[in-house]
Amino acid sequence: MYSVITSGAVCGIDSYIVSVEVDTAQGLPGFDMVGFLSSEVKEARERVRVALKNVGISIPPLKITVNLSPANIRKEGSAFDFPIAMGILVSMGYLQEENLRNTLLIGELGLDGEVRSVNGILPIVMQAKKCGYQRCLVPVDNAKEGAYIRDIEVIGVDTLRKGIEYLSSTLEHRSKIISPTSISLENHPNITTKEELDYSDINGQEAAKRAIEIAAAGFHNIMLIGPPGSGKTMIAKRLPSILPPLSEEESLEVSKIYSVAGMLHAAESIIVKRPFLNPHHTISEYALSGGGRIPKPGVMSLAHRGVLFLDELPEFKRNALEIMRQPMEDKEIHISRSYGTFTYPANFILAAALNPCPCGYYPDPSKCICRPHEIRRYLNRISGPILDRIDLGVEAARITIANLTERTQEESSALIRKRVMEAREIQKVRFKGTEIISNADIPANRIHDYCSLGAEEQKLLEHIFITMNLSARAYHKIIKVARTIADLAHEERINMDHLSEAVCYRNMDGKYWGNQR
Amino acid sequence: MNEYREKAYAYWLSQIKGVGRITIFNLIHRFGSAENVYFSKETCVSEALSRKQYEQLKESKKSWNVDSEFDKLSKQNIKFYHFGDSMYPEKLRRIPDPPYTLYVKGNLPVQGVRTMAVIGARTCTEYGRMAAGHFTEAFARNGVQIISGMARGIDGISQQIALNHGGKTYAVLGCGCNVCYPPENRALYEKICETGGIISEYPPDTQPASSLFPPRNRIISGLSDAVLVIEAKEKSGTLITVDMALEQGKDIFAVPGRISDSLSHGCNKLIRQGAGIATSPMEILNEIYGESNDENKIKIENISDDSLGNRTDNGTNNGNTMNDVTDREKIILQKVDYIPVSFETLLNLCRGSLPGLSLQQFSTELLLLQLKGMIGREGSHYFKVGTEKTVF
Repeated sequence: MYSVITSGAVCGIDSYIVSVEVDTAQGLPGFDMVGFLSSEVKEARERVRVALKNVGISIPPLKITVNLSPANIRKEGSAFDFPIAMGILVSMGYLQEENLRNTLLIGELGLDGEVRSVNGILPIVMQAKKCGYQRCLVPVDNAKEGAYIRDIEVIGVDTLRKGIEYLSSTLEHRSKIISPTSISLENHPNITTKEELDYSDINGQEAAKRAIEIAAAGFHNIMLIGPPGSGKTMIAKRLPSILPPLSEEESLEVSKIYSVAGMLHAAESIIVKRPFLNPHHTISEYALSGGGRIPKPGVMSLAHRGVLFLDELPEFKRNALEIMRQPMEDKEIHISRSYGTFTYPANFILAAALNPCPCGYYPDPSKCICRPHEIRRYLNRISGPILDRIDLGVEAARITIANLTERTQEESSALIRKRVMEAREIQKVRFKGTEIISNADIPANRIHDYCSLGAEEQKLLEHIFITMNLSARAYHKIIKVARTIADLAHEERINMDHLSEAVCYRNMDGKYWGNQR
Repeated sequence: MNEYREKAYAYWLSQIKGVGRITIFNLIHRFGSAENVYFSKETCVSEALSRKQYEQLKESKKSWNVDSEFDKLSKQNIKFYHFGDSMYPEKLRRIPDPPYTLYVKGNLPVQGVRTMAVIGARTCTEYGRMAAGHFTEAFARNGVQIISGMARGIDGISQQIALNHGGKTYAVLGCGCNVCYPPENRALYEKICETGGIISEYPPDTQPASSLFPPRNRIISGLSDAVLVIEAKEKSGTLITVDMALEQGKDIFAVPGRISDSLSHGCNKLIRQGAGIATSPMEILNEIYGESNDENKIKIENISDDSLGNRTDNGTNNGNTMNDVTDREKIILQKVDYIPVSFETLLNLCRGSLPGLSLQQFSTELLLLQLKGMIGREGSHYFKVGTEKTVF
């Protein structure tokens, strides 16, 4: 007899529905699986047979053929065990096919009949809902993850026996066996927990903190330059504590990436905090971009809607850094493989920290022992195009003893976050109906629409442009940053103060960057 | 003795590997001239040399065509002088351990004209930059020739400023005179070639090496009447030059600095040890021109202290451009120094006098001061600049 069960699989970050077709017939006994399968999918044969035996169902000597359709996409992973087992039972007549109508099954089987967790549940459940399915049977460990999708029943199955019991009973009785998992974002365990890191921990560093606030408000990329031990890393690590919380939509978007990467934990089940990724500088370009035959999301995608913090930027491999050029522009990364091109979102704030020279003390002449060409060589490890994409550059000043001993009242992250969120609201209204999300995204040709300058400000900027020998790019960046500063001050117009503060955050040009006298 | 022939043979002698100037002076002493060395009996020559040196000499006699190689030099516009030459600078003859050869692109310093060596640290501060500008401008305007090493920092700056003010300047290099080192001073190198001269005791195409630089310092001081040290750390190449100058009996002047600046330690130490304190170019000019009634004595053109950007008590500059400075700017200017200070430090300093100064206001003030050209910026460090004249 023949049966069809619905399951799903992920390809890149998107998922698709897979039909598991099983045919059992008289003939030479055997168990064949077709449908462009990788070896771990084919191994399902043994897991399914033994798991069924161990729940007390022995398969009579039949010719069993399993096809996973569409047969032109390569299938990987162990998530088809559970639907295959059910397919065999249906085709053998143990279960009624109508009991499985509108139901999607997914899960790996253990030899004892346990249903084990798999990756990518979230995108598959999303896809199932889109295709009109009413319920999904997923491993119990993944149930919470799927349950965030509304208007679809997600049933967490712990053992094969429970699954069979559930599917063989009528619709009314089912909820007594396993009730659908329900959960909502509001009572997520992580949503209310306080950030452990807070800006009130940092004494002094006013300029750096202010720059970080601007970066958070306008989603600008930021670079912190400073001597060793000045607190660059501390400042950057606290960035998530002032970013606005993820909206529900964003949260699902980010969780989808983590689900595909297999990085959602059962307890957490969905990402509600902005990601903060802090890869070590030995990271390879593939780890950054995403890699593998069917690429897994890389660090850049995992930092989507959050912060990618690169500490000691010049120590990163040049290749790895260059890979970031296109994603930083397009806010997504395209990876081409023989199976096709995969696109992962990658819209993050880049926060970078670095020393100004190999010894770390430039331009302090009493401490810096580097020669000009050494400084140049050090900074030249970061290419111009990467620098171009960084809007804010700020120096973390050397810590004085007063900073360490004085107990001053520093602003808390919550206060800063409030201002950031207000500035974000202003931007939301401004960019309504466009693709632009934040001030940092304003394309050069639209700058004059969004960032109008008065005659006096225009004159000042022209003066600055000439005296400070700025590039066109630097010019645009100053305006964009000034826009964010004005938003933070709730001002409609960019005024002189906003502009001159923005100029302060430009130290990536000129003497720092190789144009030594 | 044909002077031209002798030059060609001296050139041959000076380029033999393993034969240094001491050996050469020995040979000349023994044989009278380079030409004689070339034509003397081999057994005689070998007595004066080590075995290895002798091998090298024999080797080079075979491979070196004396006339054509010497022609090559003049084709490259490189002038060649040797110790026995009548054109060899008299001043160098008198120093201990004089160079045997001098290769020159351009000209040698004019003999009889007052000559000053201006030297200092490669990593100089804004203060050094300002001092270099102040002194060399005065020297250049009064017809003093400036000798230095064309290095990064003070050396290059002084020579550039001398050129800017129409002065003559000469650079003594630690590499071949046709090699521009440091490469970023290429423009300066070309300019010095045209108007002054690039001098080296090493054959053309010699690449810079750390062992070659200390010996060239004796030529810098040797060619000068006095040495002005602008900024130097306690242990530095600049002080090597000073040691050599002392050995040669030259006058030393040092620009004093604050006791807290490591780049002034060397200078302050020199002053303590008896060097002249360089507080104004006039004093130095008076000293080197002396009281003599010689024809050369020029009425010394007085240079105002404007180029110093002197700080008066209210912290403003002396110049007449300072009228449009607001009170707040005055206070900020007081806090800014020649040593770069970071934005944050400066802000905290200014808050001492201007309580409640916000970061935004402060950044506006700094920007305006920058646009007025009163302060400069290096990274996010700000520093005071003298006047536009000294900005190089």
